[in-house]
Amino acid sequence: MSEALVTTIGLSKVYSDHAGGQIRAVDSLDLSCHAGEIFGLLGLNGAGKTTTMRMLSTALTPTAGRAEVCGHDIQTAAREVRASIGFLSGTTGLYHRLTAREMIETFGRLHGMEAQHLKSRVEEVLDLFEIDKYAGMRCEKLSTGMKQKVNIARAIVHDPPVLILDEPTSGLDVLAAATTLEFVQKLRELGKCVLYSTHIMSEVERLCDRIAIIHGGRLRGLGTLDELRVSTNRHYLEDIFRDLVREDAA
Amino acid sequence: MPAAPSGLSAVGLIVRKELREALRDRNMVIQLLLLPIIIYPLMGFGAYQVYLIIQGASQGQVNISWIDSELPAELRESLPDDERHLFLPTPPELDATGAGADADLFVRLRAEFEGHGDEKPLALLSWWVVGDSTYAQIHYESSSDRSQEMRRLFRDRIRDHSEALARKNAGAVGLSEAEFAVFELKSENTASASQVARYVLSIAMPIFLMSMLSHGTFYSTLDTVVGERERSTMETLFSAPLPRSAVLLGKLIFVVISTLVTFTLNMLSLLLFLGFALQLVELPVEIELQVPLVSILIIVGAVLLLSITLASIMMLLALPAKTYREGQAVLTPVHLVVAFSSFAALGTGQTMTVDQALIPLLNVVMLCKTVIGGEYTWATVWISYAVLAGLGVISMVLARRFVGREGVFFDPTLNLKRLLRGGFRA
Repeated sequence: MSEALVTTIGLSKVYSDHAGGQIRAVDSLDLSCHAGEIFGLLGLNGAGKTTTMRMLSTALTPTAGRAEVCGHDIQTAAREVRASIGFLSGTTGLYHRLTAREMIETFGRLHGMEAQHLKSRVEEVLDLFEIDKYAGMRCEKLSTGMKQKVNIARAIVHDPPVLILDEPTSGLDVLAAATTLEFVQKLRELGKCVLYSTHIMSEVERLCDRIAIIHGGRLRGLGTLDELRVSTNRHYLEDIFRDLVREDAA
Repeated sequence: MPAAPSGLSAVGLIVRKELREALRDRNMVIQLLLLPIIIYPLMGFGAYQVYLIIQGASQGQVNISWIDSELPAELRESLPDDERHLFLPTPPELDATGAGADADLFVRLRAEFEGHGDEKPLALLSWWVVGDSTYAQIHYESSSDRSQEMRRLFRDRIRDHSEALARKNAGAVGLSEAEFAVFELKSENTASASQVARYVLSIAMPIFLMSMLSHGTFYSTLDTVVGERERSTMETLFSAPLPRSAVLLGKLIFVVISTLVTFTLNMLSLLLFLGFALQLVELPVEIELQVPLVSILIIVGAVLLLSITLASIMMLLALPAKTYREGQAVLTPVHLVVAFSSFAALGTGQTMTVDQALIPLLNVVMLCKTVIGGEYTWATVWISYAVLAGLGVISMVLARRFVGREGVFFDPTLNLKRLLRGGFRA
């Protein structure tokens, strides 16, 4: 297997609630994700997936543990980490008043790309996602599926080795979701390390090379689908997930 | 992989992005570019209409009737005789109040008005204490502009006529002109045309200055901080390898630029409008719009510092707001306080004290007022600048600290109160 581009060791995040109590959103998470791999983070709402993704994108600071992205520590080299990743989540929207092309160009510039290289790269990305016809349209006028394509294009314009995709099909219709999944597969073909978080089993089954099942902030299972089948003696991922989560509840 | 942009380059990228977005937003263009330009023509048109109404000129012909037909010839001749004024014959059935008549105004002149003779005491003539037999009575209707207009006209004409009669009567009883006029009061305006203009500007400009600075900062802050968050693009932006301080500074510069553009357009519109309006309106005094260069530079300095300070404060307060509405609720009180702070300087006189220079907002208003009026001290100028700069730096430091706290953007339960209670640690 290729070298790990994302590693977490004992990664934890604790929030304070209104009453002064503590909420352990992520608890001692150990993961590693490699180039050319789609690594699925599967869990219910509130399981800790988004918090993990946000810590890896340096938006949140871990309470304990550490993590590295492309060899950069997320706490001490946050800018280098952000330069190495493309981050997409339900809360990473587009600038509605910019055109699709401008949106992608803007993020290329924000990642420090040189003008000449950026120009050819934008064309490449527009072509890759088949959005060149709509490149001059303002983002506010694009369909939901188109917006998501532009968002992914925006996230990969600087050609990052690591993609962090937090529920990228959330809110999309069936066709737009299918298109998104196709592009995620394309990212693997391009040799990217993709961290893919979702609560949709079918997406994980279809896409992910390895799966981490998270519940209550803790890792409940880790491995390929076949490995999980063997360890739980179940065939379907839904059953595997239910078993692991039930174990936790018990 | 490309190297992340340096601090200054990152700030420049943010400013460019913000400006490009703002110029494509209809609401922003209207609020920041169009409104500051058209506000004075609109206000001027409104004021002109009010003026016309007050003058009655907009209502066409004025019908005047008088009850007593013994109107003195001189008085009759002094009244306007043109297309706008139509003198109607007195309806025979008309009573003193003029009820039921067609006229806009009625003048009742007692026959005794013209009367004079030995029985009239001289003192009455001198001091215009009118006896029971010599008086003019004007009936008018206060809700009618034309009636009001004619009331003023008649009052002036009758006063002139009365004076002429008094002089005539005084002469008839053997008083000379000098004996009749015990003293004559004359007043003369010694202010130059430029001084008059500066006085008017010193009152008007602080009001427009504070309103426009507040207006520009309010809308651009809402859009760049709260709008960005509401549109879910803040996290997108923070996913780029930029220091948060660069993002904050870029946004601050955008707010300051927007505010200054709004202010500049507004001031140009004001000056153009005033220049145009002064040509149209006949004023009792001559006015010449001319402000010394030093005064302009001092005001520019104050405006620059205040816009930076206001931008920092408004951005600081807007940071925890999650929706545009929430942002409006937080920023509107500040907007109003700033916009109406100019009224605090009304009636404070034309000199500025050191105490006033220490109070933010009031110092800008007073500085503007006194500098335009030409009466300022450099001590108050520098103190005002220092206070504004100090406040701006404090606000920026706090905003930087707040923006560094992850909860500002990712804790849905965070509000301004909790943010402040949490202290200013990064």
